[in-house]
Amino acid sequence: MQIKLDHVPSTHDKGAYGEKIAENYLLSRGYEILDKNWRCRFGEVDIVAADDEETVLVEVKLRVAKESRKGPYPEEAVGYRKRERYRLMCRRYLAEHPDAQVRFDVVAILLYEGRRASLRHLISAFDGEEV
Amino acid sequence: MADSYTVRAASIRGVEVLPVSVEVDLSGGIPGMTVVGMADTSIMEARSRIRCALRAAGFDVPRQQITVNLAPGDVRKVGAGFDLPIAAGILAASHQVPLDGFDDAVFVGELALDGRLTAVKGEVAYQLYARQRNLTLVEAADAPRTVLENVERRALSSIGELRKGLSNLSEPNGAVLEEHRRVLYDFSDVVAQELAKRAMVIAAVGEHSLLMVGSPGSGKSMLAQRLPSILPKLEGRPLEEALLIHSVAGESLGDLARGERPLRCPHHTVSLAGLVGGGRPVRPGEISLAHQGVLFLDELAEFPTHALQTLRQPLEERCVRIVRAEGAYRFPARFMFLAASNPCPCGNYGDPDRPCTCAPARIERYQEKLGGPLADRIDMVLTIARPDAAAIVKGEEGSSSRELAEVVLRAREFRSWRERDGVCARKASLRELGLSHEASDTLVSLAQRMNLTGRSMTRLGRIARTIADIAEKKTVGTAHVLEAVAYRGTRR
Repeated sequence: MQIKLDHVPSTHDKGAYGEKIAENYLLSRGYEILDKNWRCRFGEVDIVAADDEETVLVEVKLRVAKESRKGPYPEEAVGYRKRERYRLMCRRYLAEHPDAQVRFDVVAILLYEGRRASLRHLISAFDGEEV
Repeated sequence: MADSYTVRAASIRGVEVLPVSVEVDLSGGIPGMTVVGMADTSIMEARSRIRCALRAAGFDVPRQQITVNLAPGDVRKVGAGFDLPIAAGILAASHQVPLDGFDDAVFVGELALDGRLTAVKGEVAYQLYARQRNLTLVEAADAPRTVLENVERRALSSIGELRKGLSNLSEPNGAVLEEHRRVLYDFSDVVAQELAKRAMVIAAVGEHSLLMVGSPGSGKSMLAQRLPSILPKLEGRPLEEALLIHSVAGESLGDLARGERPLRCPHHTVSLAGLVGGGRPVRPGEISLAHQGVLFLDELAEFPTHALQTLRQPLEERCVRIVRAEGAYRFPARFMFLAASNPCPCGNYGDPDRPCTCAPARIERYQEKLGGPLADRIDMVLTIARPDAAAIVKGEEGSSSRELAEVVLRAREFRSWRERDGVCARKASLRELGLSHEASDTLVSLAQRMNLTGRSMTRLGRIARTIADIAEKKTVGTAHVLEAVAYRGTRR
């Protein structure tokens, strides 16, 4: 989906900015935000949200679009290591919340010129096993 | 939120079917698919195929922890035929398809990413299993049409068809296997080799192993190709055995289903596993593919000694046992052994037109070692000479396969009748063969004159017994013994 931004983030607070955008988006979709920057020894989950029965661990990625339009897409930055990290963190999360039905989502935001951006919400972007 | 279901499947181990229970369990936690039960790589890859196929067919892939167990858990499972049972189990556990008929069904098939089903190797083995256990075989629509009788089958072209319910599916409509028997190679093509044809008939009746010795171009391969054409038609249980082995090995079944005996001609560079069976997973070798048919080793001298060594036991026991750490496999291997060799190192000894360039001592040594480790397992030795050129050009026709096949059939029937309350000639000792007094005396004097060993004498006796069977005589006479001597060769 396309969104209009109210200001352009500086390099410094791009991460936090992206997370704010994602949070607003999820809320507008009826998700409940359970936690933000949930930390454990394995890393940090950007957003923990509730989608009806499911607990969603959301990784947010924000990137600036390059000239050549077909850049690397932000979701591609969620590589094997990141996914493995999320699986580990998920197990930790389940230890504390044993009845949770977990899902992994990615919210990818691509910034264009003129304060425009596109947002992509990948639902169940990956799962607990890698083949 | 725990739901589970168990579906029947099967794995092939050697030439046998191993029943496998595919247990599918859906539970909470991290979404993903875990397969346990000593599954091999292709089964582990099934997860990706199943996911895509289910989605392509419009089903939901449950976003839960899907645990799949392939029981029994201590036996290795192989093959891509597990895609269908696992997918069916997932659909059953998540209540996405009707379940009637599932209890009496066994599922086998591979899934393509778009949800279509493809058949896997070993169709006959699965059919046999389904028939034996009174189950309905649910498989891909392109599985071969019924090869065996009395097998309940249901076909799926795509996984989506499971929505219709098993009873609403039709039978597979894969390739048709032709019915009538065609004789491809005929002995009538072989000119002026009546003696050789006679030897072939004797070998066919008594299932004797035969070594042909002749210079290149004398017609050894031609004769070998035609041996299956005079053997009795393959049918009944022997046919099912041969179909099973060929199906498991992925070979075509058309010729067999027509009643043609298999002819296997491995090149002398064949590997040991290729010859007797083996590999990972363990598969039948050439000798098992020759089961109920003929194994022909051309240029016997070129085969490595250790390869021929491994043939000794199967020739004796008519089966081969392959022992691995995880267990033993037993493949049937009842075949007629046929071999061909040159008469000397240069190949021209005995040829009227081409000179032999070997020293006499070399020729003698070569001939003594003909057959190598199998020398004492070879019953008959036949010398073949190139026929007269004029005869070939004239195209004289000799006995045809049909005539010879009739002789073989009658002789075999006579033998079965004679043996119905006696000893099988294959294992009979000299005393039990029914030699006349004169015949026994002849045999003894021959043995003394030629310095024969006990084994040679018994072998001669058995061949004479076969010759007598062809003549439909209960007692073996002197003439039969004398003819048998002609096939002794130059060995002791």
